[in-house]
Amino acid sequence: MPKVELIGLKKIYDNNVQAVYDFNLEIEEGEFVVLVGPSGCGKTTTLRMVAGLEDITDGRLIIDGNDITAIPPKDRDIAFVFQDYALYAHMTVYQNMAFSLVLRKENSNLIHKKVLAAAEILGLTEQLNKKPKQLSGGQRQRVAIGRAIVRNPKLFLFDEPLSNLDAKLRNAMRRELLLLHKKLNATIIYVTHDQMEALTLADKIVCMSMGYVQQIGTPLELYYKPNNLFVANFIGLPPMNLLDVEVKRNAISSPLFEIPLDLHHQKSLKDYVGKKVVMGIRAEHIYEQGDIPLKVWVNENLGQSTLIHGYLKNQKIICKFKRWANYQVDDIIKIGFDFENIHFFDKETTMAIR
Amino acid sequence: MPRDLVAIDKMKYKKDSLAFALCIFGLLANVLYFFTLYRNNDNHYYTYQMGISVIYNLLFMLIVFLSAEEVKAYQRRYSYVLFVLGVIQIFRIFYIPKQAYDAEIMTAQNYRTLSIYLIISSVFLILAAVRSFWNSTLLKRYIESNLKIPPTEEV
Repeated sequence: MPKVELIGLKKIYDNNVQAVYDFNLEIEEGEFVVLVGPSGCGKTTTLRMVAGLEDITDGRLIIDGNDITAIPPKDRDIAFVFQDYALYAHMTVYQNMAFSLVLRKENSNLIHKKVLAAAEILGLTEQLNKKPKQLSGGQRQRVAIGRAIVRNPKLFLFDEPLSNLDAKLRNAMRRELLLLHKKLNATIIYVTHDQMEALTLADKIVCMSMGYVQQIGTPLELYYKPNNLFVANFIGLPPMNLLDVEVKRNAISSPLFEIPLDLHHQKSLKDYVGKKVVMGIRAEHIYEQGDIPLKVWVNENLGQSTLIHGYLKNQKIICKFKRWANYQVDDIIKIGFDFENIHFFDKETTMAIR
Repeated sequence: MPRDLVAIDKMKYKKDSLAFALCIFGLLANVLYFFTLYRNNDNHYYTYQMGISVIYNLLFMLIVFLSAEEVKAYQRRYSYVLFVLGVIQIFRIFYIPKQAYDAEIMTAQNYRTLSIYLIISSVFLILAAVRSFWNSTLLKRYIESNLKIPPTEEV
């Protein structure tokens, strides 16, 4: 039995705006699930519905086999870590972490032990007597996490917890969250708009757009087998290159190239012969010294690799070469596509053609 | 260690609120003494002692308040300060109230009331001093011993 089940969740606000449509998800014990999508896609609303901070318009929420849809937030045994930490400024780190347990009137010696144990896990032992304003952003976020840990809840909810941190600290905290998840083996639902965070942290990603779930799968599945154009474009940095091509019987063609199709693709594209489809290819699956001319627009060196932004006729494309390249603007370079890693999408439905 | 290790370890992160409260009660009792003494101004004789009394009361309140803040954070040396101030409160009975009473300027009722305020103040301050001394000594020894409380499995 899954630890958490979200069955047909819907959210319609009082002004009749529907934020979430028919959200279904099963989460296993100890699973790290990331809800990812652009701003306004409904991911935070979904999280808040799970926490009980938003009413569920329709659908059911089940944790450990119990339907908790109508149960108030305080009785759900769920810990919520907010983006802006939500620490009590007048309390010390120790008091912040102990606060929820004090409210529950737990034994003070046990509270003490739990706070110390959580502080040890999070590396906050030396900071316990400090007030939040004396801490760095990363430390504050760890306090917020510590406050959740001490409660030993059934489910952890994280709402963009790293958004307020600078890039370096965000990377460090991301690693710490991974280690923490391994240590605690906690069931976590984590919301982010950063697809890199989603790819690195998640056991399972739920990609959302406009209130709809676009795809649920492992990071590998979302990256290498996107269900539709939205997922293909949203997951991965740089995003997948999408080119309009025409399907012929044994090949695909565009004004600048014609690539023969292998048997697998011939089969999957047989219904599209004579039609236009969208071809998707990731930047790292484009290689140099092919036979397709690309006009360089920007040469972006990243150290270990170089991103080349260019134009195939009038279609913009990004290539990633694993070397320090030094092309100039308007240089013409020859590229090729790794056919093993090409995706096709229906132009009308935007769904992947497999 | 005479007390539970966890209870002592908690002191590292929790203020000694009881010692602080005892100090404040001692201070409040002195405020009552102060008000009552000068409310009976008609009965009082105007000498330099009145000025000294006012200055002492102000200094007393300042020092007790500062000590209260310090004993809250287990600063042992302030328990000595509180103890001395507590003892002085007893001796103060024999200063203005007793002298005024002996000179038949103050009524017996006022003399008793003022003496009770000073005794109450003294008791609170000495209790605060004893508690603070005891707790701060325990905490100091605990920190020096480098003992660790057993971890919990519940997190």
